[in-house]
Amino acid sequence: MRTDENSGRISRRAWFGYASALLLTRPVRPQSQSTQGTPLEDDRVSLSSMADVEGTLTPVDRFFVRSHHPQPRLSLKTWRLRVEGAVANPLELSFSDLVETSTRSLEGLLECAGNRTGLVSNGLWEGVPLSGLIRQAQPKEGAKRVLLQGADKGSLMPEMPESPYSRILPLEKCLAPETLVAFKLNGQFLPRRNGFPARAFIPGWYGMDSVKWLTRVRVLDSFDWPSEYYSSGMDLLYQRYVKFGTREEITGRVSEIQVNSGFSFPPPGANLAPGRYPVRGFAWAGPHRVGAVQVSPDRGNSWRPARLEGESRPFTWVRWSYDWSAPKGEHLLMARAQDHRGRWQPIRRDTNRTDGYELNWYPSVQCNVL
Amino acid sequence: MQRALILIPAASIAAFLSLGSTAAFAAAAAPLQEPPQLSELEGPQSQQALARLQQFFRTVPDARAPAVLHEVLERTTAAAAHAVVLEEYQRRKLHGQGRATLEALSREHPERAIYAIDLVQLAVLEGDLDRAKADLRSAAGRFPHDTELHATLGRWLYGRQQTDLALAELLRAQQTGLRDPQTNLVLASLLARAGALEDAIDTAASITAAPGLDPRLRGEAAALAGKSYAILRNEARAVEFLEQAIQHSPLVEDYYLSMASAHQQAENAGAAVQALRRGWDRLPGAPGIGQTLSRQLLAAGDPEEAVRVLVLLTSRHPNHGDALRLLAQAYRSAGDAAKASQTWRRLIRQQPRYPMANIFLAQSLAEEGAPPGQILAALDKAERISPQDADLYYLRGRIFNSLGRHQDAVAQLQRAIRLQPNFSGAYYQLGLAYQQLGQPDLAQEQFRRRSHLEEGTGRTR
Repeated sequence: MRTDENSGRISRRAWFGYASALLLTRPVRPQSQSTQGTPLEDDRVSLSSMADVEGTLTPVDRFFVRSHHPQPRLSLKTWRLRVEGAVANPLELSFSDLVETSTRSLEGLLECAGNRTGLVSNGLWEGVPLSGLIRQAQPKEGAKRVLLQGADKGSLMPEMPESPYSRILPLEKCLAPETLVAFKLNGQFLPRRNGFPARAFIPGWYGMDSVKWLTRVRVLDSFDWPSEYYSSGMDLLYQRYVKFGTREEITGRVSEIQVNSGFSFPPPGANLAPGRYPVRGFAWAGPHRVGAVQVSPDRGNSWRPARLEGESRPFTWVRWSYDWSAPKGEHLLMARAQDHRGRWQPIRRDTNRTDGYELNWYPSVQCNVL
Repeated sequence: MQRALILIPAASIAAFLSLGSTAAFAAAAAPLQEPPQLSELEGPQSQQALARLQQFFRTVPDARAPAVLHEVLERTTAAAAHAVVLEEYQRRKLHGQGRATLEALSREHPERAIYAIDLVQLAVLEGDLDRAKADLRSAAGRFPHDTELHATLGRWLYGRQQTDLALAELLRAQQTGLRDPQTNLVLASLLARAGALEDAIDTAASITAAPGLDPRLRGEAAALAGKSYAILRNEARAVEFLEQAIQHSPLVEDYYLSMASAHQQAENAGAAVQALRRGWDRLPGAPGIGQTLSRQLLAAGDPEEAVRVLVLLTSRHPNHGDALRLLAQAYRSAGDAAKASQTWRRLIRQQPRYPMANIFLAQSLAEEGAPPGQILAALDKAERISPQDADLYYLRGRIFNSLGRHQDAVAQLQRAIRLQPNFSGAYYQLGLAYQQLGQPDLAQEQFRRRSHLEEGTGRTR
């Protein structure tokens, strides 16, 4: 990691560029369905396995978790969602108000921006369209952005003040019909670790914008730059950092989920008897449909089409399979997906990228046939 | 909310019907059954009165039904009578008419919360949940502090399996001072189901602390708090509340099971067994306790005691398949293969299509040293029921190996491997068969595969 040349301390920007990767190396312990006790540091990360998915939905207790701050304890008696800021009619909703509002259900994938493996899951979300709440609050003219704030608090880096986790999104995305204030996942109320009692769900965008434990929706006009957001360093998170020679620049905000795929069978390092196996996995393309998936049984030397087991739809993943005659030997299977616009996953990471996001190059799995 | 029955001068539907108080009634042509007096609807004979009201509605011609139903809704606020009216709207598919009537009455009598309740109920009966939600929010806006309104709606929605909406309404009731312990218990269980465990505990604990309540209710509340603490991994508090539950209701099997589960979660197997024994003493023959206790005893290496428990359990519940399976396993662990075989035969008589039973019987017969013919006969039966079961071919291969029929063993074991390619035990037996057939290279290949499979992450046996 780079340090500030004068002080020898880690620079603020460098810290954020690598924060995601650091968190992912933290030891992970298996999580039970309900982890609603005292917040523990490692409650912030829990991996999900595609092998646990039957059909297309990740079971609720196997959904991945990736949080910046410890899980807050929220009571349904006191939890409120405020819709405020540059609006003519601020709202304050209780949990009862939310449950008693018309909802929409949507199958959607949630992927951490730093996912390489284990930080992606797919579920059936139910919630109140955020657009309805914002429109009811009547945004003022000139409002273009919305701050979504969770009840979880902490410091994003040492010596920084504590602040609630929050994200700023374009108003347009918040008004998209698919954007939800979700309170149910696969027909159950959200588990605490996944944002109970309610979270934002921004289909097609990486998970960091789907703010968990949502308590505040603040519509921002062009003069409103929330100081807490900027002083905490939130603005530097989830940006694309690219090296240009000796310089490093932010080239844009990470938002839309990139085309990606993964294996559900065989598991890494599997020992298999010779025979035919259905190699399986999932592919997804954020707000787009998946056009094709290919599998290479020979380390990328040749590619064969995989079969899509169902119709690919935006926001969710599609299961694929490939019938593999497994000969004896050590194998490295690879996969790659293409979205319906013809964009393939990249073969490797752009070496100029210095952040830890959008890690969507070809997935692979090693196995031995005995 | 206005709770009292609104008094109607001169008192009965019959009276206003015969007086022709509305145009609809005045034109009565067909003979109508005698309706109940309105005062009866809240009296000691209210059930019979409601049944008569229901019958009366059945005789009202379609053309006059809206006016009759309107009349009842306006002249009484008895909730049970309103329920009968709503059912009648439902039966006649007059939801739109009912809604219009209720909205008009609501405007005329804005102080009467009963119409707000009716509107929600009518929407739910109609299956229009979005409408029901809008009505619920409207009711909350108009009667924000009416605990009884929200409690009534919460209980009704709960009875209709609309648990999310029930939770929402009972939360509103709680926030405006809900006292009724039974309703609070429903709320606590909904909170626990929603994952709001601390809220569930607070609510349930308030019930356990309330004086003068039915011990069963206090037991249920204490158990709910205890189970919620167990999910929160606070086993000490879980045990404390479950102990209270047992004290209040010592004959509820679930409380002992939950107590044992909390101890088990705290990795205190001894205390778990103790809790189960305590339950077994109070409720000898209770199937849940018997099974859990015998499993614990088997895990603790006490199969003889497990056999004693299961013998009693299966004598009380002779058709309990799981208990019989456990008993056979307990006999096997206790080294009594003959009784294990006997128990498997008993289970096969009860459940002849249970696919694994013949395989287990064959295993047991093999351990017993029974003649191979008997074992193979059991496996033949298993194959007829479940021909895709790798275990049976594996077992048959083992038997053939033990009989020196190695060529037959090879065929069986290869079939087991085809069905389950990672079946490491089958490779081992296949290796033994090849060894005996004088094919050392093939034998070594099988042993190597077995050892790789057992080292790997794939399914190993």
